[in-house]
Amino acid sequence: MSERLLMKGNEAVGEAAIRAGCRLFFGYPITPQNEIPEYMSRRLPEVGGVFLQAESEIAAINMVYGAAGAGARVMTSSSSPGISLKMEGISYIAGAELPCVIVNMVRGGPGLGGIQPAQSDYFQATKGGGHGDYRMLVLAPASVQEMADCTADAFELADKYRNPVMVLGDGALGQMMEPVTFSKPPVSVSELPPKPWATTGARGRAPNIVNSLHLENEELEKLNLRLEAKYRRMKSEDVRAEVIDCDDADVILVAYGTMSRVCRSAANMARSAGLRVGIVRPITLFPFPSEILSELAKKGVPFLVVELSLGQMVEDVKLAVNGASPVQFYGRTGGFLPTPKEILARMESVLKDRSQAPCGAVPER
Amino acid sequence: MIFELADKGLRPKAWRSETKPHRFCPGCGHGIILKGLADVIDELGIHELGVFACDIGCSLLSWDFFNLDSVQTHHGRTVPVVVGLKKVRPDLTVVAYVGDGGGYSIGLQHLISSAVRNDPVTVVLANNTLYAMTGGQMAPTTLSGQKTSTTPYGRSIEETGPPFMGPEIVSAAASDSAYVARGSVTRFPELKQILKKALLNQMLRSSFSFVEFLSSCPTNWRTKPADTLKFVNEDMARTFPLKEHRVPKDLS
Repeated sequence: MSERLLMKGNEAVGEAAIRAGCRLFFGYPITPQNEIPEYMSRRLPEVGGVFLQAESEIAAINMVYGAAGAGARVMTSSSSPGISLKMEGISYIAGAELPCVIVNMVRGGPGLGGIQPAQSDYFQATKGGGHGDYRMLVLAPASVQEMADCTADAFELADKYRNPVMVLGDGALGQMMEPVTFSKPPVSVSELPPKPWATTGARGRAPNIVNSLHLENEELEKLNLRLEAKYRRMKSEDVRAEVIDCDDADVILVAYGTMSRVCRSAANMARSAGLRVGIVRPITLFPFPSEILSELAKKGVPFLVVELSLGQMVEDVKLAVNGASPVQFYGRTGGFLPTPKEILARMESVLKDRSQAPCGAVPER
Repeated sequence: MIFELADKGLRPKAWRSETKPHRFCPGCGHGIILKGLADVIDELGIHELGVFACDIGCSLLSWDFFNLDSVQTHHGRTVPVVVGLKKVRPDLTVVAYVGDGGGYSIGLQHLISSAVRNDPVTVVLANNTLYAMTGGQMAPTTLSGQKTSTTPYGRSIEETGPPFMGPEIVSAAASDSAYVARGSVTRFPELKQILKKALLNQMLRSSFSFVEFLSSCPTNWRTKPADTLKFVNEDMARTFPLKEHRVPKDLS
């Protein structure tokens, strides 16, 4: 089926997961991601799958742990406060090296925050989030089509690395409706490669153990180094970013997800006003497209990082740029989305202040 | 002694020999419960179709105890992990092995919710009245007046509530299909019968089972062997009656 369907972002995630061979979903209600469990509760029984509304986010992620350990493609979804609850389980899943997909339709925080879109879970998603030295691979879609595509890719990447993969959306992407095409044929679950490490009953083989316990120093360090090697492989094989009009740019905007869409409008406005604006849109937030940014920084072109937070991804941009060119930041929170005009105004001041502004200063409002 | 038994073919087939002797303290009840479980797994012949999952705490030390696929889980989360696993492979027989802290404190929402859903899983809980792995702190099951490392003056019921009655409370939440019982490590033949029913209720009736065993912890109780037995058989049994709380009619 490659017809164009009008879908909500959350529904597109659900359909894409099923087409990627996900037959198990464990969730718990929280706004603004409720359409995902609702969609799965309707669709999974049609394809012989299992939907279970767990007693909590913690229960749901641990059900994911058990199901992923048994070798199944499995998903859970939540929004910021619920993702915090899942973090203990995600750390376990990363430690036991199990593949699974976790969707976070981010809302503003801290605490209960609000239900409006935000990008304030960037640190939590990309720097580990739970305890211990681990990373998730993090995909940041910017449209309903990409919500579907990133979800499908997330299952492949999770299996490739035996690692949890997070699809990091936000309330806006989850709720908006856009046309979607599912162009790839659905994955046949029975034809997926076998997982010889899974706990499926020790028939004709030595028992498998799903484990993250390593009491011997040597064993734990060995695990940490193996994980590090895996993350390095992600950095060399699976960095994704969209680079737009950066060759001749006077200023380069860096933004992901919903924020990148507003930046695109701002860049178009700027271009018609004679300002040359490029955009770098990270699609993988971990691994971060550092090399793309450090290459561009060699020209000394200033960067303006725009986020729906008070500055999280900007730290990774600064690490990548490493002082080679100025990095400034603009962000809104509370559920406000900066308008293209606001971003344009910031760009102009970046260019004006280029020589005197301290790198990455948070703007006064 | 164990190795002599092995030589005579008396050691359970379900035991993973390279991890024996096991890691539990001398006099600990875990070894007895796990020996009973191994015997029953042998009897039912489910080595290739069983998955064992353990909680954190001393029960954790069983993560490689069996010749079975096994899962080590986070504290209190053993039940949802086996529920997730069972949803993938309903043909497997899954056991969640937990302590009283994991089952009745941090994991209580999972235990009760699983009972309410009548998940086809078997939950086995060792009740030794305290958190043994971490040095013997008060648990939900600590007896009235019992001294632990965090109740140095004896547990005050007024301040911390009475000992948690696991099978009594779980059976109130569970359906008629559930098997719920309390046994003791000091009554081994009965312990095995209880474990067998708890597994058969999952295997034959796709229903929930929860069994608690009164267990011993001479290390943290600081008891000599005779006093250890006395504490289980008298002090604990006075508070926690040995009883089958729910037995489905067709579970023989």
